[in-house]
Amino acid sequence: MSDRHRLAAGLRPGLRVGTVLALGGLVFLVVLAVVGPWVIDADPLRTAAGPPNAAPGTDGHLLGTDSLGRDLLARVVVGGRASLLVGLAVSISALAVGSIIGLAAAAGPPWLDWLVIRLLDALTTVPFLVLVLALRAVLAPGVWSTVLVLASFTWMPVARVVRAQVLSLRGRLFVEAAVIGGASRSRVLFGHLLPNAAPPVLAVASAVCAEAIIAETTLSWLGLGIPVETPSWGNILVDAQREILIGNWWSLAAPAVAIAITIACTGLLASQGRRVDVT
Amino acid sequence: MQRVSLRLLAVLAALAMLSAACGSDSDDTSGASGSEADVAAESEEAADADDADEGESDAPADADEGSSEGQRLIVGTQFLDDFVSRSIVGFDTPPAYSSVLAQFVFDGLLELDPTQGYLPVPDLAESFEVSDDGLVYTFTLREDVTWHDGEPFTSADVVFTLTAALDPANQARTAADLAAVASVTAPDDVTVVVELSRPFAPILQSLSLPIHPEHLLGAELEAGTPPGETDYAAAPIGTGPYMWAEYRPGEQLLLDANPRYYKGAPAIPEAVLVDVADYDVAAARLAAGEIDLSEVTGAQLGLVDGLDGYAVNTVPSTNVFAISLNVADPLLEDPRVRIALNNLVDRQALIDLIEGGLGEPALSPLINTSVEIETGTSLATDVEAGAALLEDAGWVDEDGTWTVDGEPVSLRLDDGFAPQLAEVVASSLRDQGIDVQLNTGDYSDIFGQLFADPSGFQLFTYSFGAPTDPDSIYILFHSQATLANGGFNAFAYANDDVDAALDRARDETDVAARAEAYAAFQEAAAADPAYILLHTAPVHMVIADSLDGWDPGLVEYQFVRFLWWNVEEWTKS
Amino acid sequence: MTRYVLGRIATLVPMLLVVCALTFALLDLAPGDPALRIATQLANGPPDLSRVDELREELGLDDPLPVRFGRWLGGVVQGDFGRSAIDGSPVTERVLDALGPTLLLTGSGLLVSIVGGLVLGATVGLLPDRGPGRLARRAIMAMTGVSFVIPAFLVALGGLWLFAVVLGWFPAGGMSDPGEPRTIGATLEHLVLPAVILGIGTNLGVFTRLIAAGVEEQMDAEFVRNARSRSIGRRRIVSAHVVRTSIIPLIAQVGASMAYLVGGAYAVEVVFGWPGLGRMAVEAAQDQDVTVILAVTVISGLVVVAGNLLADVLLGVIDPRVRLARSDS
Repeated sequence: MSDRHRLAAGLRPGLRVGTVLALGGLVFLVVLAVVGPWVIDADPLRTAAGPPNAAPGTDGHLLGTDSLGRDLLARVVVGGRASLLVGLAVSISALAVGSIIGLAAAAGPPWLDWLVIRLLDALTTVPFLVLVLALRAVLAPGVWSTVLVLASFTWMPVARVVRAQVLSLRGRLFVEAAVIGGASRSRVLFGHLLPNAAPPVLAVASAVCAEAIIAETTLSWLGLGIPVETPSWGNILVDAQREILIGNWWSLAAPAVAIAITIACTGLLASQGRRVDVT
Repeated sequence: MQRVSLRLLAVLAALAMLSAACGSDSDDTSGASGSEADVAAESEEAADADDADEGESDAPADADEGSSEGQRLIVGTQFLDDFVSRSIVGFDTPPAYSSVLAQFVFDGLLELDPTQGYLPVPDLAESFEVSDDGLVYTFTLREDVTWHDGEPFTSADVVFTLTAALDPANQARTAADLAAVASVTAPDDVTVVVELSRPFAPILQSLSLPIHPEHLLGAELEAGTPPGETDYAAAPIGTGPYMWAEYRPGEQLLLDANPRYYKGAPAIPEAVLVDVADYDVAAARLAAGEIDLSEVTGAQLGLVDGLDGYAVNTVPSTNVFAISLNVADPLLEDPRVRIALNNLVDRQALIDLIEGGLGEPALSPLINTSVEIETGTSLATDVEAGAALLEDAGWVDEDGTWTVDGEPVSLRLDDGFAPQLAEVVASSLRDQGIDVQLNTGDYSDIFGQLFADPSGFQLFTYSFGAPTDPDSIYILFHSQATLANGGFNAFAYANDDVDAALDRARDETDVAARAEAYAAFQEAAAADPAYILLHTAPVHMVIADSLDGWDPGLVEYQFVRFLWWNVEEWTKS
Repeated sequence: MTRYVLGRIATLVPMLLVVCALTFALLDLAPGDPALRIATQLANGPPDLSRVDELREELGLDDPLPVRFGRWLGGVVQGDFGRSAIDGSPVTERVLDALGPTLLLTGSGLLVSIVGGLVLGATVGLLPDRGPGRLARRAIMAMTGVSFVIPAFLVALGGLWLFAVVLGWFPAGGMSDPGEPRTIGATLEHLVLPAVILGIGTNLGVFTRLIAAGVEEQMDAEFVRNARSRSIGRRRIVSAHVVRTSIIPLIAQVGASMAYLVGGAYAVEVVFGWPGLGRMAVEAAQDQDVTVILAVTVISGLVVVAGNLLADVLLGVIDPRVRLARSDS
C-alpha cells in the first residue's frame, strides 16, 4: 500500500549523479559571477571595444561583441551577478515564505486559513505591473528593488500549492496513523505532511526561480527592471532580440545559454528532490 | 469518479468558450451589418455622414482582397492613441506631435511647403497681406472649401479655432507659439484679420495650426467642456484630404477620401493608420507586407534592407542630439571645460553604433534650417585640443584620469529617452579619462525632476532641432527663456552675445540680415557652449514600391514627418 | 457547496476594496509632485509652472488621502472611472474597449497552456523512465525547460517573424486586417498565433511539469499497489483518480497565475498590436497616468478574482476534502 510505504519512508537525500551535477553547475555559475569580473579583463560597459556584432573569437572577444561593440563575455559574467542574485533571492524567499504560510493555513486553526485565503486572493489580484510601478516609484530602480518586487508576488503560488497539497494529504491514512500512534503535532507536520507535500512544491519553486529570472528580463524590456547601466542577462537580451533576426545569434546565445544552464540546474535539483520518497 | 473528471473538462471548456464568446461579442460591432450597433454601442461616429461612409467603405472591402490593393494606403505609425487624443487637446501646429493626423484630416490657414524650404504657403487662406509695421495680417479665405460633413467653411471657424487655442482654459500647447497674437477678427465670411502685439516673423508658421469647425466644437467648448472630453474629439471633422471613418483604439484608424477636398479628391480612396508599438514591430509588419509605409531607425536597417517590393527613403533631418550641460555646476562653469567636452566625445562612434553609420557630426545647434549658415569647427572631435583646454582650465591628468584639486573627476549623466546614446557617450568620455556615472530612467521621471530642481543635474541627454525657422532655438539659448518663463533653458544659461544675436534675428525680416545674426549667434554659442553637440541622424522611411507621388529628399524634423504633406496626390498601383 | 461558493463571493467586495485602497496608497507614495508630472506630460516639454498650482486645486490633490480615495471610490461604484490624468479621455470607455480583447487573448492562451499541459504532462508521467518511451519523455521535458527559459517577449517576436513574416501563415498583427471590417473569422485568425505563443511562453512548461509530477507520483503509488495482483499495463491503471489528483495543484496554480498571465499577455499584446488591457496598463505606468492605472487594477482584479473563485470552486468539486475541511460558514 502506498500509505504504508510513505510511513516507512523519510526524507533521505541520496547523492545521485544528477544532484551533484546540478549543484555543481549552480556553484560554478555563482563563483563565476562573483570572481569572474576580476579575472576577466574586459570592461562590460565599454562601447566600441571591438567592432559591433563581432562573431565569437574576433579580436580576442571570446563570445563576440554586442550591437554597441561591448565584450559579451564580460557582460554575461558581470550580468550574472545581477540575474543570479535576482533568481536565487526571489526563489528562496518565495519558497520560505510560501511554505510557511501555506502550511500554517492548511494545518492551523480555521480562522488562520480563512485569513490566508483572503490575503492570497487580495495579493494575487493586484496585477504585477501595478505593484512594480508602485514599488518602483517608492524605491529607486535597481537590483534589490527588482528582487523585492518579484519576491512580493512569487510566494503566492507556493503557498497555494503547499496548502492544497497539505489539505488533501491531511485526510490520508498515514497521517491519521501517525496521529493515533502518538506523534506530536509538529512531528506530523514536519515529519510527514511537509515532506510529502514537497514534490510538487519543489517543482513550483524551481519554476519560481526560472520565472524570476525571466521576469527580470521582461521587466528590463519594459524599462521597469534593472536599469541599463547595470548589466544583467535581461538587459543583454533586450538588445539582442533585434540582432538575431539578422543572423547575429551570439548576443542572444550568450545570456540565453547562461539562463538555460541556471534553470536546468534548478530544475534538476527540484526533480531530484521529487524522486526521493520512492525507493 | 469518471463523472467528476468529465465535469471538470466540461467546466474548463465552458470557461474558455465563455471568455472567447465575451471577447468576440464585444468586438463584433462593425462590419456591413453593424452600423446601427456602432452608433448604439460606441460614441465614435458623431455625424450621420460617417455612418454613410461606413457603409460605403464596407462595400469595396467586402470584395476580393487583391482588387482592393490599390484602394487603400496603409501607414504604420507609433503613438496612434496619443495622436488621436492629443490632436484636439493640443490644437497642435503641424511641426509638432500630431502631424500625421493634421496632414490627413485637417488644413490650416497656411501650410509649410517642404519643397520650398518649408515656407508658409496659402492653404485655406488663398492669399494674405502684411501691414508695413508687421503687426496686422489680413487673410483672404478660399470660398470652395467644405467641412467633411458638408457645411461650408467660413472665417467664423478660423476665429473660433484661434480664439480657442489662445484661451488659457483650453491649455493648448500652441498657445505659446501664438503668444504674439493680440486679436483675431472676421470682418466678413471670407476675411480674417490677425493683429499682433509685436512684430513676430515666425507667426506665419504658427498660423498653420489645424482649423476646427465652429459649428461642431464651438458649443461644447463654450459650455466649458475641456477639449479632450468633447464628443467632437471622438470623431473630429476637418477640411483635409481624408475623413475620419472609424477608430479602433490601440489598433488602427480608418480614413476615407474626402470627395469634396478643395485640391481635388485623393486618388487613393481609403487610408489606414496602423498602430505599431515600436520600430522592430514596424519592420516585422513591413516584411509581412501588411503595411505600405513606416519609419524605421538605423537599428532596423539591417532588417528591411533589400525587402522585396519596398525601398528605403533616407532623408536628412534637422534633429540634433546633444548633452545638456549645467553651466552653474562648479565643474562645468568654465567654458573651456565645456568646449573640451565637445572635443573629447567620439561622435563617429555614435554615428557608427547608433545610426548604422548614417549621420553627420553636429557642430552647430542649427542644422538644415531654412536659413543657410556656415558652421565653425571649434567643437569638432579633437582629443588633443580637448586635453589642452582641460589643462588650461586647471584639470590635471594623473595616469590617464583627470583630476581637479586632487580628486578624480566624476560627472553624472542622466537620460530619459535615449539610453543607448547615453551609454556610448558615457563610455566615450570614460575612455578619455573622465568618469561618467550613468543614470537612466523614464522621460517623465527625469524631466519632472529636472523641472522641479535643475541644480541636481550635471549632464543629460537631449535632442532638439530648428524646424524650418531657426527661431525655435530661442527657447533653448536665450537667457529670458527660463523654465519659469515657459522656456527650455533649464540651467539659466546666459550669454549677452547670444542674447543679442537671437533678438536681432527675431526682429529682422530681411533674410540676409537674419543669416548674419544667426552666424553671430553660432560663434558666440560655440565659445560658450550650453551643450555637448553630438550628431544629427537621417530619417529612414520604408515605402512600398506600389506607392507613387511622394517627394523623396524632404528634410524632416524630430517626430514630425512632412512626407504626407501632399498625400492627396499619391497613387497606389 | 452553495455555502462554500457564497462564502467566497461574499468576501469579494471587501477584498477588492482592500486591493484598491492598497494600490491607491502605494501610488500615492511615489515621490515627486503629481500635479507637476501631469503638467509635464500635458506640455510635452517644460510645463507652465503657474498652471501647476491650478491643476493641483482642480484635481483636489491637496485633500487628505482618505478623502481622495472616497471620491474616487464613489465614482467607481457608479461605473465612472474618471478621466485620464494625461489627456482627459474617459477611462471607463477605454478600459471596457480593451477588456474584451484581453479576455479573449488570455482565455485562449490559458486554454492552450492547460490543454497542452494536460496532454504533455500526462504523456510524460505515463511514459516509463526506461525503455522506448524514454526519448519522447526527455524531449518533452527538455521542451518545457526551453519554454521556461525564453521570455515571453522574445518568443512573441520570434514567433511573429517565423510564422507571420517568413512563413506567412498568420497575420502579423492587430485584431483585424488594416481597413477590413471586424468579423469573428478575422478575429480568430488574428488570435491563433498570439494565443498559442502566450500559452507556450507563459504557463505551458509549469503546467506540464505539475501534471507530470503528480501523475508520476500517483502512477508509482498505484503501480506498486497493483503490482502484486497481475501485470496490468500501465495505461489501464490510469483512472480518473490519478488524473484528478494530479489536477489539484494545476488548478491551484491556474488560480494563482492569473495575475501573472495578464502581465505576460502584455508582451504578446505589444508585439502583435493586440488592443488589450495589459498594453494599456504599462503605457499608463510609464506615463504615470494614475486614473488609468487604478481603473485597470480594479478591472483586472475582478477578472483575476473571478478566475481564482472558479479555481477554488473546481478544487472543492474535485476534492471534497478541501471543501469540507474549510467550509466557510
